Amino acid sequence: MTRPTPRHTEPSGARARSSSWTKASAYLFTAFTLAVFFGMLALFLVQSLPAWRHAGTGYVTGTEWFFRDERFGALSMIYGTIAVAGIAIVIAAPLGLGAAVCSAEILPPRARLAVKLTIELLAGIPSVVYGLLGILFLRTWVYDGLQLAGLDPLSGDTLLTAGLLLAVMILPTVMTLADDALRAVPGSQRAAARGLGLTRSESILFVSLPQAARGLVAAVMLALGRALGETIAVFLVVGRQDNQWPARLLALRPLTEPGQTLSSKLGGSETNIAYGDPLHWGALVGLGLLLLALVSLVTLVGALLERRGGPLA
Amino acid sequence: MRRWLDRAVVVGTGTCVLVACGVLLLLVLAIASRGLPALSWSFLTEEMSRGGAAGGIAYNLVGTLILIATAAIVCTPLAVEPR
Repeated sequence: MTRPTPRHTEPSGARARSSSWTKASAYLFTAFTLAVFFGMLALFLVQSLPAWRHAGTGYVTGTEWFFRDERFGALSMIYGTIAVAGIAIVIAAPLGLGAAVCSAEILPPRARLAVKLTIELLAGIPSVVYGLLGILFLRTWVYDGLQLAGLDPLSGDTLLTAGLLLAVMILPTVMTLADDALRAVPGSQRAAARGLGLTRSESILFVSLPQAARGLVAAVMLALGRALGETIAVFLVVGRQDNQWPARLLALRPLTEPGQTLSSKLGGSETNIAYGDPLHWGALVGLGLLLLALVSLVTLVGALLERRGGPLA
Repeated sequence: MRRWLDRAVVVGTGTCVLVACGVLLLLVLAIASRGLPALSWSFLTEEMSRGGAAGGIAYNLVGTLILIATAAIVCTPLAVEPR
């Protein structure tokens, strides 16, 4: 008769001491990581206080940013950030989800692996390389396209250009996360669906997609978070024109004009100019805070949905 | 009707894969075709000259390595999760 081996043995002597030391240091480091994050948040808040005091709620609702006149309104940049990320997600989400359905549900394992490898490799291309490609190709294409459409554009540096570039950048993120979510649906579910006489497309539409819904939404949200915070690629092609608040909020025309996003503003040289002046510096740090809040919110929702998995409640 | 739906799904999602992989592969080709001719051993080992208009990227390369190494050294112990 064999005795069942105990699953948890109490460590003793030197091992116990070393393990508790490892544990303590691990907790310490985790606490340190959290402290760094919240310390950063507190620092941002304190440093941006002069701007909040100076402009009040106008800081978020004002559309005009003239730092020499000490007028700080971030709304045009919030608009730019959301417009650019919105264009990107509108293009990348359907394309990425469609591609994920194909690779997870239709392609044979080997082809799926090849597609997945390609996509994950490409997710690792640094954003500045995308930016250079944007300058090299996309800017010219957008300029020519707008001219063909009879819009007489000032240049190829527009919110649209940045949005298109971002769409290509976040496409791998959407696709690979959505593919993982779909693969997490148990094969037995598919087998049951096919056994009940559903065709492959019906089993995708009525079994796999609803089961993976949370994960799919998470994929899109995480990609959106990346798009909102992306700096250098956007910086290189967005035109960086301040105070581009559109006359009509949902009009498409302003998208074909140069604009400014929160991240491209912070990437610009104004950050260096501002450093000596607490108010101006505070206003720029405040932009960082707004960006942080925006990205954290979207990423948090995405991460929570991804962790839970399963169908949407 | 059901067969038609099945085909539409296969064709539709297949197109998505082709477009996605195609765009991304074209990007790599575009970078490689422009970048590879410029790469050489001396490009990697020489310091830049004439204010970056000529020469190589030795110091930039070393700088990148230092940056990555520092980040790895700092973040690895921090990323150990308590169990």
